[in-house]
Order: sequence, then structure tokens, then C-alpha cells
Amino acid sequence: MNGLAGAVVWAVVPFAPEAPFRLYAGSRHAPVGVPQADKLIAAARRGADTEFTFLVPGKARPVLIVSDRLDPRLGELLALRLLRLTKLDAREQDAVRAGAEPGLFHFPPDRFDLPEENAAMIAALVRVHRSAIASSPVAHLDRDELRSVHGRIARHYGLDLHDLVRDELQRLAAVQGERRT
Amino acid sequence: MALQHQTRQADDVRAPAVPRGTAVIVTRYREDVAKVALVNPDDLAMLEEAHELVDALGALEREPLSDTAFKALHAEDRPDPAARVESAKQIAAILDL
Repeated sequence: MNGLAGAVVWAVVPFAPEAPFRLYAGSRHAPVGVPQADKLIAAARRGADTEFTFLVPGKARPVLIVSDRLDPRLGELLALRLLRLTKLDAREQDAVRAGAEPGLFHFPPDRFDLPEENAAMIAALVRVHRSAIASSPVAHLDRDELRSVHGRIARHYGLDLHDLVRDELQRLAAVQGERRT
Repeated sequence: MALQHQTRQADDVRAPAVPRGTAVIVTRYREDVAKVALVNPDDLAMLEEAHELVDALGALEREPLSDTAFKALHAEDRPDPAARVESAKQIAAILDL
């Protein structure tokens, strides 16, 4: 899976479960509806370490792999869901193409072998198991583009990278100092 | 992107000497539009070193998952078939429906 960072691949991706929940209750019974999360949480807090099979919508769709630094024992990749630009009106599409919409990273259609023009949705991070990826990449972002996506993700989610940046600056200052001595 | 160097003889371009800490901006048709900038070779080296350092930002080493972290993920971030309930009667009893 190494080398997939920045790749656009087709994958099977579920949506996040949300209330009302539907629980699979066997092939001879209709799904059990649970209107709110509270019943499920209350059962868990009572100590019921049970798992339910949630019926969650999902579909095969292209995603942008944002990190391929996966542990081989887990086999998971971090990805962004894509948006088909036809879901937006003409003015919004133009804003995305112009890079004026920080939450959407545009893919020029001439570089991406996809049925429609797309953009990556920065707020739609998802973990994808390698067994759910069924195709080779249809395109790759270059390093600068992927960096831009990473920066937008950090900004969108408000990740506080202070310690990371400080440590990196200190490391670089040390490297610079060593070069001068 | 790192600069690519192209070396030319001084006779070919008739460039002036540029002291350290100075950039000579060469214009052609308009004074406010730079055609080329000349800097002292030591300053160029300093600028390139700074560029290399900035470029190295973000090239972080991957932090591998420890055995304990993997064990935790395996235990709590994967479905457990033994704990799975798919019976309507049992679901109703557990959730007090």
C-alpha cells in the first residue's frame, strides 16, 4: 500500500452511522429500529459488552488517499471522500475550481480518470481497509498538492501542531548549527 | 523547488560585483519590473540553505505502532464475532426496547 498517498482510488466506503439506527436482527426478522443513541449507550454503561450489526448506507466511490503510512498489521488507509462537482451550482463550482473554497480541493478533470469532475471534501476523512479498495489508482496528486491537502485538513480540524512545529524547528536549527561548525 | 545553477563567464553578462547583504535588481523597460536579481555567492548559498531547511519541514519520521498500541487496536477497534448479537429478542432485551 506504500506509494498510495495522494492517489485517487475506487473504494467501498460506508457513511457514518447516525440516529435513527437500524440493527440487523437476522434474515427472518426486520431490522430493529433504535431512534436515539441513549438506549445503546445506557446498555453499554450497564456493562453489556455486546456488539450489534448496524445497517449503514455505503457505496463504492472514489476517494483520495491522504496517508499510506499504514501499519501492515492493520491494513487501513486514511482517505477523503470526493464530491462530484455537479452537486453544486455553477457559481459554487467556479469557486471550487478557482481554489476559493478551502473545504474542497479541486481535481482538474484532464488529470483524473473519473466519470465526473470531482473535488476532495476536506471535512470527510474516513478510514478505508485495504480489502475495500478494488482498483489501481486513477490519478495521483503531486507532493505539493498533497501537502496543501494535509494543511487544509489540519486547519479544518483545528489540529494544534504547536509542539510538532516547535520540535521540528529545533531539529532544523540544530542541523543548521552543525553545518556551520 | 531547488534552484538549478547555470554558470556563465563574466565577460558574457558583464555583471557587477555584488557585496554581501545586497541584491542588485536589474530592470529593462520599467523600473518596477525586475528582469533579474544579482546576489553575492555567499548570500545565494545562505538563501539556498534556508530553502533546503524549509523544504525539509514536514518530512517527519513515521512513528511506528507499538505492539501495545496494536494490541489495543486489535482488542477495541475491531469487531468481536463472539460479542455480536443479531437476534431481535436479544436486542430488545439488552436495549430495553
